[in-house]
Amino acid sequence: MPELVVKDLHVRVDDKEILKGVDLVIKDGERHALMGPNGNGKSTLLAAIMGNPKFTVTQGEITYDGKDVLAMEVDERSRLGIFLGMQYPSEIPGVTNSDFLRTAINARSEKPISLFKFIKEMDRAIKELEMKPDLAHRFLNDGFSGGEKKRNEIVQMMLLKPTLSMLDEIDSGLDVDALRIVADAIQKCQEETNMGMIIVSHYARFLDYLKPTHAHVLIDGKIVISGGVELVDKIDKEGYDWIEKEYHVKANKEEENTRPISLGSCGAKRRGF
Amino acid sequence: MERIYEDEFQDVLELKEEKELKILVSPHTYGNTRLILKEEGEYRIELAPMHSTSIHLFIQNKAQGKVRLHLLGDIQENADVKLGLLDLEDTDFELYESFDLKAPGARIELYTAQLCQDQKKKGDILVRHSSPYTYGYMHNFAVLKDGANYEMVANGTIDKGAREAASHQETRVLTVGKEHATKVIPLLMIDENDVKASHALTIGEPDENQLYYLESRGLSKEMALGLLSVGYFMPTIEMIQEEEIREKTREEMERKVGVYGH
Repeated sequence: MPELVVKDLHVRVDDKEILKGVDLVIKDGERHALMGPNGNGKSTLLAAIMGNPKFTVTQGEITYDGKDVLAMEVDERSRLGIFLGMQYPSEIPGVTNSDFLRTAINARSEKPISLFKFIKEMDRAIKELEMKPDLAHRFLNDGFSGGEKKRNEIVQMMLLKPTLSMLDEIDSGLDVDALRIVADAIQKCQEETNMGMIIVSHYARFLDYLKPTHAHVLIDGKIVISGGVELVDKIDKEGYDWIEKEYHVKANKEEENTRPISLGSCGAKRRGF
Repeated sequence: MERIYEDEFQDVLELKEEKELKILVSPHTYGNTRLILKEEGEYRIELAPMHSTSIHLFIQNKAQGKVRLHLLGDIQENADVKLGLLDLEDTDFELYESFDLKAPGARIELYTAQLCQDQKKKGDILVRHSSPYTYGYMHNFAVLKDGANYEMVANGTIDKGAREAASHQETRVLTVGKEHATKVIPLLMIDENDVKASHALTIGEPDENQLYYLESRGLSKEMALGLLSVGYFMPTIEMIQEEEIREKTREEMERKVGVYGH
């Protein structure tokens, strides 16, 4: 039974320490909701587990299935069974979804997947996510709406069959109907694979659908409280203020964008030339 | 060697010892030709599409030594030419193209797709609009690995009086290796007011976010770079009409750019 163990994890981005000692254990079949105000380290934790080179681990350990994850490259972590459904999936013009997914599937198996099996699995995922049938031939996330990109992350998850799936605000950009479709597909995938899950979401409705077995609140780079589904309900009703008071922590507020705003080019006509 | 096409045609040619070829496309004729360059040396291919014709010419370099290729021709009224060059070989290659859009309605679309490693690939392409209502588009794609040297001059020239001519070009160079050199010169020489013209140029490494995204799905760096390269070759490879040959060529390209890893 693969198990993710995160011990005393400290992570920096540039010169700023984002995670300040995170401990977490995820087992097969568990669904962990990771909550907290924006800018307090949720996405950083997932990115550090996946191995995003922009994030530097300065202290602590991550093991999965007893293996030292921090010693692995990003692709090795993926082939070990770890999947990250990204908040902002990259757009890659020139690379079709089918080419990309076949290459990704073949990268994790000794024998290449047959074209027939691949098409069958891809069709099934497309139907379950209620996406347009031409998905396979479109360039990867290129020109996709926000919702389409998120559904495409789940299509990839279904085809790659990870044993640990981390979903970073996969529900943002989805309308009410799409939310249900995506949640159903995730549930079904977990029933089939028994994968462990970490779900970052701000929407109680999404977590209602997915019914987490565990919940954690990450504030100022640390998990300050863990519990079950009752914690999700309480936060939905009362927000995070009570946690700050009760646990004597202060949430980081996201910095406002202070960049100057361009008003565009001047509409006045030049004269005298 | 001379080829004269009439009505409808689909042709495959291999050039070895014979290095000169003239293709004459009779009026109201259309079709496809696939041409393989088998041996090193200097080739000269002249295209003469008469009025109201359409020809798709796909050329693949398979020579194991240096090639110098001259492609030239006058495009007549309402003639439509699409020409693609695929060069995946580890050899020096020089390309000189010169086409003149001679009469109204003449169109030409040129594609080059080259994989470069430790060799010099040089291109000098001219599309001249000497008549009104003509259309030209040059698409040049290259993927540069270690030690590559790539040079491309793409020139769209619109003569006085060639009103409503459209001259477009794009050059995309992806650098995936070390110690490579690139020189790209896009030129638009315009001597008429009522025209459309554009050029686009990108030279650079793969986007680090794209690389991370692909690696996060289990692709090694080599495979990810290979996959990002595929899109540079496909528009040219898709010109191959025979499905089996097209798939084989695609596999060859994918293997050479590293999609299958080691």
